[in-house]
Amino acid sequence: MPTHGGAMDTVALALVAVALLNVVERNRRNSLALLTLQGLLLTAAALGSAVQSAEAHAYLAVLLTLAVKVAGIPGTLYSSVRDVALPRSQSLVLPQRAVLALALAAMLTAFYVVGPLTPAGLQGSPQALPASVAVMLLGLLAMLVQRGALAQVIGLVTMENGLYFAAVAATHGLPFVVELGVAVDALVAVVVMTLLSRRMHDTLGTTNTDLLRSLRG
Amino acid sequence: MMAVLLALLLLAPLATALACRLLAAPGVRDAAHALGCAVTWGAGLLLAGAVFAGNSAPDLGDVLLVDSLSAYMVALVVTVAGAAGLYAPGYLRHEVSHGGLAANRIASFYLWFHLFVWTMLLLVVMNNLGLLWAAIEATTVVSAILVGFYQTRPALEAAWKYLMLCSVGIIIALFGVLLTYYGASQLPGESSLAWTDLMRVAPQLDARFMRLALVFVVIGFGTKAGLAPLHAWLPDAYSQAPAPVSALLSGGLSTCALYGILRFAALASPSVGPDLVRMLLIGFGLVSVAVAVPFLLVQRDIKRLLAYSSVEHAGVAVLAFGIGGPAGLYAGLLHLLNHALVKTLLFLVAGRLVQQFGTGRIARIRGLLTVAPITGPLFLAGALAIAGVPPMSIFVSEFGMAAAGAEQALWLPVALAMTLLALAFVAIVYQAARMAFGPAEQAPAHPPSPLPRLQRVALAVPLAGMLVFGVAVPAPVSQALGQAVALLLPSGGR
Repeated sequence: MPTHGGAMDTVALALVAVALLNVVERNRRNSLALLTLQGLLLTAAALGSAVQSAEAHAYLAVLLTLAVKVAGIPGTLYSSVRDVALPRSQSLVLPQRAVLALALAAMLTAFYVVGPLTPAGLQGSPQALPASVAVMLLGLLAMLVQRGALAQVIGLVTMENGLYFAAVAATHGLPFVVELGVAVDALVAVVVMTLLSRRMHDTLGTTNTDLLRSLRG
Repeated sequence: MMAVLLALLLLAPLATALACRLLAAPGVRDAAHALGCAVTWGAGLLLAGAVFAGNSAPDLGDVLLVDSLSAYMVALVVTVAGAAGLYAPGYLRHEVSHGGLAANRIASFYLWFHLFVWTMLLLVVMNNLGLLWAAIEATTVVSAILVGFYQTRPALEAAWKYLMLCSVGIIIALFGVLLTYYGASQLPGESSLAWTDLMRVAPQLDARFMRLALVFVVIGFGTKAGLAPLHAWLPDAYSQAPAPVSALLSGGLSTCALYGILRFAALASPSVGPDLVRMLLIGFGLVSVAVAVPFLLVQRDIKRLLAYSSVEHAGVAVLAFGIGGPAGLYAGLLHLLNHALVKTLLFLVAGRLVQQFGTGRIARIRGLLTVAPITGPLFLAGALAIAGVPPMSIFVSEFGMAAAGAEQALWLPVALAMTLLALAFVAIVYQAARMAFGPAEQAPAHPPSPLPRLQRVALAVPLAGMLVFGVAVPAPVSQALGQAVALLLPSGGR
């Protein structure tokens, strides 16, 4: 039977692995599946934290995570892909090998630079904070190297998920009212991003954000 | 009484947003919009006045807070929003008749406009730092729709860039909020994210957490405020948004983001010490002014010119905050108000000039003083004010910033800032003179129609502020500023 910290570490490393796959994944459907998987891992982390703290609001946070991170956000994105005819996959800005090297650098930075800087005294797992920074950096990397609007939104949500994990793993979450505000914001943001990318598709005939380069100076 | 005013302030924009969406008759809808703007404006000013008069914040618990600083921000936001709101109907009518905007989209403009104002008002009355963060994130989402309102290629591009970059920034800021919460949870007792609670224990917060938190929050909210080098989205968003929205983004939203930084800096400085706060804020301030100068000088688009000027003035404000002390904070807060008023005037006038000339290109806008008898001189006056010509309002607060720096013997930053501001001055005066003087090379695309009455009100208010604050800061405002500054100094809070 693993300890709470050990279980949290496992979830942390799984989240990093999924975020890494998302950086190089070029098929939209697969990316969305990976994002849903991130949501499930976050729900597991929230559940672990709720069991440990045994507070009612922590269980509410589990439901909130399930509703927003597993159902709401991936669902919204999925419905936007379903209705729009798009190429199934798009190439990366850099060769895959270079992207992987950058991803490796991001993870090393997170674990070997942020890890030791982590202030002592955090509860929970020792890997939680470096892992969440790694997930955030990988999300940012995905936004930079992927071309489609959808992939950028997925990168952004990945960043958010990394942060959310830090909150769950190290402090048993933020106060519930704050978590509610953050989650609602995240969902509304994704809805608006979907709306905007739909308009871009209608107006420009593409959601390849590489083509958005007309404004200068 | 205060609770009633606060409720009115927070409900009026929501109610107006819904009413404008639901009312079908254009005349009734415009009236509802104008009424909503007026009610929000009135409620905000009355609330601020009540707080200043009592010099105390009503006890609203952990979630809401209307202290003197919040009240000052409420007054600022409702004034910018009121002016931009009253200006909007005439502007949109012209867009429909000449600009190819579909008449049925005006309702959705009003809807998002009032929601945007609502999120900014929520932002400045939040006590809980997590909810303050959530409100800033909400402003991004709502205003992105307004930035992309024209749905042209450049507008959508600007909106997407804005939404992506500011979302990344805001996530970084949330990390800072989280670290603050870690810091607070180390202390005995119930941990809270309420600013008033945290200020009470600020000296005991763990400096290691707070140092990181401060850096992340300054970067995150700095992205929203448009501090260089985090400003990449800003010129695009300000120039592509409809003019009333540009005014709200520059005068309102950027100011609100700086307000967030200010609250955090006050919270962090007792534990991390003044040096890091000073270095971060003065650093961002100087870089912002320095980055803006060359773009001001070579700018070819009137709204982008104003946008880079906003980067410059966000820089001046954080510079003043970085200098700190009562004099620095006073100058910085005054500068936020002065800039908001002048920039609102300028964006609204520029919107009308763009409509009149059918282009925003500076090279095509010529002979303003002869071609545009009201807006031409207004634009010139606003440009001179924003450049920092004495005796106008911006000069007063910039001078206050320099004096505060000199008082604390920060000679190098002050000397650098003065040099850069002199260069910015030259750039803006040069650009404005190009547009204002000389014969008109070609007749404007749309000869000026008389200014609608509401637009006159919308322009008169910031103009009056610009002139009055140049001569002397009115005693009630000065007193309110003093109260707000006192909250931010050590042993502030409630």
